[in-house]
Amino acid sequence: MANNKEEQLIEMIERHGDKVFRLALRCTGCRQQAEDITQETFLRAYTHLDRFDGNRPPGPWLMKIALNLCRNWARKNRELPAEIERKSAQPGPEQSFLENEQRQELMRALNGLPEMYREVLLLRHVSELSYREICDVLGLELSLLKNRLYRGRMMLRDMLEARREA
Amino acid sequence: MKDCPDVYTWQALLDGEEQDPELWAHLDRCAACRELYRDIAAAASLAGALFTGESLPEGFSERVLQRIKPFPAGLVAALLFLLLSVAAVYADPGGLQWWFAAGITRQVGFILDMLISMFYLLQNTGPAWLFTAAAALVALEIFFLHKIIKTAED
Repeated sequence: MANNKEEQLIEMIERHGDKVFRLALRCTGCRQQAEDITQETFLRAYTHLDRFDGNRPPGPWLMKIALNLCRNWARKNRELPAEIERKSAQPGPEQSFLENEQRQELMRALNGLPEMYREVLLLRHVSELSYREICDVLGLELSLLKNRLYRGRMMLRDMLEARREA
Repeated sequence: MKDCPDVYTWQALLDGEEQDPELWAHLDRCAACRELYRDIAAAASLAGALFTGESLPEGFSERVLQRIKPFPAGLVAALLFLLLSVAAVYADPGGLQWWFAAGITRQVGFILDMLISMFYLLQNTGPAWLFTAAAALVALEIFFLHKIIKTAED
């Protein structure tokens, strides 16, 4: 029984680990913090595996756990990250510098959005979830999700344009 | 224009959530919708830059599996209890007289039953609680050992 549970856990890590990690990395901006959140997500999933309905896909359930952990992290660390910590220090040519600047701009704009729009954008563009999966994670009606995604994208674009003009 | 799909439909088409071929045909013949679609696509492309191709660090699964290995606190508690009970008898062979002298012989069975039930309960409890229970049992044993030795000295 325990082996079966462990096998399920490994399968979940293999299938959904990257998505959870990317979400945590975008939320925290720190690789170590992102790994901690990802580990905690799978440990909680493992603990409550018996209560999980096996007929449902585990992806949205895992993302819901991860998102809650990210929210808790954000509450404790008021300042949201302006950039993701790099895997290794890459002494930058000009191109790299400009890309870095653009990413920072994007992150600042994203962090300027209300949480309800930011989360939808993160789940869609960072974790690459489908509309249905995002609805499951956030407990939203499909029509509301479409609205938030549309408005979130437009707000992000407007904020970036306003920053560039400024 | 009146029969044109709304922005959410175009957005769903762009995201691959809508598959109706009629929508593409509509885009071909409606300039206003084409403009709208381009607008949404540009905004979605900006948001798409949020994507990061990062993947889990090396050895992640192993680290998670290590953390789920249960600490055998129940077994440790049982062994400690056994060890201290034997030690108590060997340290003071007449010490069991204290149990009779204290007049609690009939309660011994009850206490043992309780300990066995606790053991079963602890098996279904988290490692932190098991460790706390082990510590409590040790404290209890030390207390009784102390009492036995003191009685023997008297």
